Amino acid sequence: MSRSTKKGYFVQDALMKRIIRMNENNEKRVVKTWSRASTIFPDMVGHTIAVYDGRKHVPVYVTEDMVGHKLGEFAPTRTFRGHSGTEKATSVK
Amino acid sequence: MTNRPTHFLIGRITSPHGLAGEVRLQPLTDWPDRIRPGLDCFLTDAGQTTRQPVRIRSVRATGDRLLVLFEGVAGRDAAEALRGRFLSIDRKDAVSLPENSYYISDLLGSRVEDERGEPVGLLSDVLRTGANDVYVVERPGGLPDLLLPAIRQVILSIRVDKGRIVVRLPEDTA
Repeated sequence: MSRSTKKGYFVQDALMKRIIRMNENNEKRVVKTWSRASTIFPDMVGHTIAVYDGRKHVPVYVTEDMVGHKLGEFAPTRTFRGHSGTEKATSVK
Repeated sequence: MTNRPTHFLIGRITSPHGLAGEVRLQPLTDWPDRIRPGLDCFLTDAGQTTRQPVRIRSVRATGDRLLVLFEGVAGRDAAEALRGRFLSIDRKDAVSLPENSYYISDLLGSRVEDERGEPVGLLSDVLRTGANDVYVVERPGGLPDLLLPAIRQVILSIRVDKGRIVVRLPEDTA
């Protein structure tokens, strides 16, 4: 048995409690967290979690295919502004 | 209303490669496959003040860069002269986007308003996080930038022609 299987997935208690409370009350509010190491659980799907990137909280909308990943994967700590006028697109999910 | 660019940058020439006149190109487009032999494009500078028409003769992929040979560019010295220049295409040749997708260049500078029409700020940047995109809204009066997730619950409508984005502010950011 691997160490991670024995210990279970990590998620910050306070974060998980807030998510469970919101699910019970059928609420959808942005949750701020500093816990980049927390694993994304199925309970978090549909919520927007603002993940700290060292400077600001980046709002991340959790979808099913993000389950099992860590929150920090979706809030890059280094951002390259890039060049303006490029052929790059954005979409509203 | 924002100024919509007439040309889009699709790549930056980082260095010459070899002796035949090839250059190493860093793609600046979401569709690097569009850079292929026969493509008519322009050599330009970062500010796009001058444009020199050019046609691509061959393309090879190497890692995250492309090795490109242009027609009329022969030899390393000619390729060296292109170092640092950009490759652009006419807007009419740009990829047509599906619904609910927009060119970032078209959106930058747009006015952001809430549901009641109250101004929130100006869109200054779009962050790409790997999940949803995040719109950075520069607020007046020295307030810190507002980060809005690009999801339907928050971004209610986008009018590129009017340079206007209507948003519903999430509770915690209100």
